[in-house]
Amino acid sequence: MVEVDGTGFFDLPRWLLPAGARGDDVLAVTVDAEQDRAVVTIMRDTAATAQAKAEGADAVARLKRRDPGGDVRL
Amino acid sequence: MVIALLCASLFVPPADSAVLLIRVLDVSDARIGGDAILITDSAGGRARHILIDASDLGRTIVTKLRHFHVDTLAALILSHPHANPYGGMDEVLDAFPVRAFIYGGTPHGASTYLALLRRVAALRIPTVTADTGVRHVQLVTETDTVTLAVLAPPPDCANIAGSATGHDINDCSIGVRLSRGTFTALFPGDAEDAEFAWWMMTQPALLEADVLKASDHGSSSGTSATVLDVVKPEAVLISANGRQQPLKHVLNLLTARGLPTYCTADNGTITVRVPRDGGWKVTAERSGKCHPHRELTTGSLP
Repeated sequence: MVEVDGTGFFDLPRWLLPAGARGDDVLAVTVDAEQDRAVVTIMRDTAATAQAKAEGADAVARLKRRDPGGDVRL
Repeated sequence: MVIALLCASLFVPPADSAVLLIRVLDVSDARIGGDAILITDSAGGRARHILIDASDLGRTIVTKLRHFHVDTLAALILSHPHANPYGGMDEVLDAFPVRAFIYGGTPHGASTYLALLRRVAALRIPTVTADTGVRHVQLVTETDTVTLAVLAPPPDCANIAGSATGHDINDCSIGVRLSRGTFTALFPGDAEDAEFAWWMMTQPALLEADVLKASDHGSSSGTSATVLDVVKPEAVLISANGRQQPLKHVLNLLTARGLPTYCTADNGTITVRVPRDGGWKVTAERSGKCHPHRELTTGSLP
């Protein structure tokens, strides 16, 4: 399952993805469409992956700062 | 006299007032078998609700919560950062005030996950990051207390590698062990063998439970003989879509042990009723036995 532009999810068979693709990878997709064929290239975007990972860690850290700790009574 | 009777009726508690209800909602329409578990305590006369996971079908979850008269969630719990438990949470946040957000604090780069965390922050929802040890969350009404022991994932999850697989993320689930009186239930998210091994080592006393929500929708990596030996459940509930899960191997294992097993894909929404005076009972929308999944898994070469 692949997340598409942060708006939804799309089922893709594993064999269509780069062999080294992992669960947290950002993938860059380009399409070269001609009259009789379309070439779809799916590449691991390591820079975007690193940025997404950093943003994820930052979001978790920000929420943690607001956690009073200890046990909680609702 | 009529007025007196009318007034008296206003103070009659609702039918299930002394009953804790655990509903494993039927989200078998979900593409990848999500979980959504609604816990309702009405002991104080006013129902209070907790939702564990929201599948990836937000609209369906909102409709079901409204059907069960939910107006506010005392807590929204995310078991782990996969789309099938959190995909529906945005619409849940649109529809209901949420008083607390509880999750394991595992970082993940998916845009939709980031958007969820940012939204929780923007809404200023008090957050419990259950990333170490055990956090106890008590749902207190006038006459009742339901305790959730939230089991943290292994410490490595806080720095999970970019090369993490889906199994690695499953093994960063938080576990929720509910207790009310003598009754206990365990909701292990999608924890697989490795995380269960961690919990067995660190929190063995908190794994035993009367009712087990099968981990990872009834996949073999989450429901093993070892797990059943430790949890010792008297009933097992499986939330799965019936297409990718549950696995035949798991159903055979449960059958061999004579464990009553309920599956959302076959039985619809499953309800555990826990009366205050002890005893508990599982009912379901539909009768019938659980069937193993019907699709071959995708991902192999064509």
